[in-house]
Amino acid sequence: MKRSKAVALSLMGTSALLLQACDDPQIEAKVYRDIQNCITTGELSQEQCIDIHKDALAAHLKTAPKYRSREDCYADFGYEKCQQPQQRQQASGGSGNVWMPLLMGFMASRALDGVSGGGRRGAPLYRSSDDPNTLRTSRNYPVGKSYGTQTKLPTWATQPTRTRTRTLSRGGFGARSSGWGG
Amino acid sequence: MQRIAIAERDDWKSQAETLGFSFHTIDGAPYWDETACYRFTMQQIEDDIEDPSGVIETMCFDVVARAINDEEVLRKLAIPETFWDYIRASWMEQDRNLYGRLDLSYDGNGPAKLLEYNADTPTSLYETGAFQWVWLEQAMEREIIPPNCDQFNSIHETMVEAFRNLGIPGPLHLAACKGVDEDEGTVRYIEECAAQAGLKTNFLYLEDIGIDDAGRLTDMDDMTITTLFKLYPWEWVMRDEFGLALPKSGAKVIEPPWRAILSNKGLLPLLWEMFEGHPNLLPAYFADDPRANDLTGGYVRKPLLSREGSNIEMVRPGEETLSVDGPYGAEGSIIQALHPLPVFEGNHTVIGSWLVASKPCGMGIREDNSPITKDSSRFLPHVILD
Repeated sequence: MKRSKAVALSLMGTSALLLQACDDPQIEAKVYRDIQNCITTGELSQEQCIDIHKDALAAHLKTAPKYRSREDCYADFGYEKCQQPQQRQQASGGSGNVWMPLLMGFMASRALDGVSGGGRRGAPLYRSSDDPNTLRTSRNYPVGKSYGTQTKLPTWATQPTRTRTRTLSRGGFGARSSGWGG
Repeated sequence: MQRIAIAERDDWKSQAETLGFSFHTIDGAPYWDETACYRFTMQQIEDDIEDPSGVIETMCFDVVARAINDEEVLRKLAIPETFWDYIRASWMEQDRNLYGRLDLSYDGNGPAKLLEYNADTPTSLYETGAFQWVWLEQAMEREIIPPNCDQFNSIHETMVEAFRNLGIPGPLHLAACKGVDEDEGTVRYIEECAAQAGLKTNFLYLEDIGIDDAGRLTDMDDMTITTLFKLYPWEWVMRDEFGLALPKSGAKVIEPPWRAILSNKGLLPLLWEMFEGHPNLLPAYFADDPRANDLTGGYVRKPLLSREGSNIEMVRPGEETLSVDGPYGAEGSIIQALHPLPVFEGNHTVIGSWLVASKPCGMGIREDNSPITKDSSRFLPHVILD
């Protein structure tokens, strides 16, 4: 981190300020290619692997970066690296012409703070076209370059964004279209 | 390095008001501008800004070590002879420096070029160290920018740490001129940092400083001043009545007197003479040096002592000469090879790289509609995002 961990202003102005920089990892996660890869590592049971993968798929539909055109999606994720969600999977009110990246893996994650009771969640992983060796969360957070990696990441890295339309218009991975991205 | 248009926080003005940032708008024109931000990679920050800033600081110290014992140089810098011993003593006694800002021309590629060093009275410290930092945290929280951004900005904690290490005995007095919001805001922020380091502080206006019959400086309570932070240029101090009394007043001053050598534009030809060809330096000569005629690719004439872009003349081959009026220039000037600021969407962008206790620790960005940065140039925040 290249910035101050906290900034306090107690003398200046009419109200005191104390802000802490917020970037501490709060989730630990293991990265898998697919259910089979999850089972063969032997850390989780077959049943757990299937449950977590299902969880990741549901999150994939909900939190994957979405695009109005195939070309925009290809630009960020690569040629033929995008899909349209099947009709029955689409969220109600969907425009019917939505493109999103293919699922390139998933993570079994567990909160480190103990608040969530230690249960494992599944989260989808993607690879962007400008940095295809790195697996990233739906929020563009890099989690590693190979399956089987154990990693720590901040809570927000797997959470859906609150203001989806605005963020998507800039493209979550969109180096070319927006300036942000990998 | 990219300029990215983004949404403003809808409440930033009210936040600025409550956090002591009264000069966010100057004469009705925006000064703080968060309708865009600049994005850098970590490598650009570390390899092109942070490390070179440390190297430039080291070269500057070599210039000071040479200049203090070279009367010809001190004369060229137009430093009054009555202060030579004072300046020399402050260097020999290792009076500690607090902060400074290197102005760099950098477009994301190639070496950053030093335009000048604000080593005595730099401003924009508060908006860089505090308000820009708050912007980053809130912009991530509000999803205006991606949540994994960072910023080259440990100015606040480095300032507090520096004050812990300065070994200041007794209270620290801090002074700004009356009626200049921006200056007072900067000094109030520096006071804030000192107080957080556990120092007892006492703000007063420069015009209110007194002197007692023993030649000691006094504050509004007639207490003597032992350590004074002043946001007021040394070259002005050296021409003031009390300034003449300062060497015998017993007060330590921040920035220390030897900084007068670095805040002088004569630093630039001295650096070039000692480190000619260094990738972060531009060719520069004193105006009366015949080698100045060799700068055929355009040049910038800068008075030895000038501030905020005043009295700068920019001579460009094939283009009209630009100049800014102002009150400076009587002491002489230097010529620096032209290295125009990069232009991002019509804005001429300069990087201010901050050193606190000589440690590179942060960055602020200014934009102007013209190639010459002035005190009215807008301040824009930046992010690091790979």
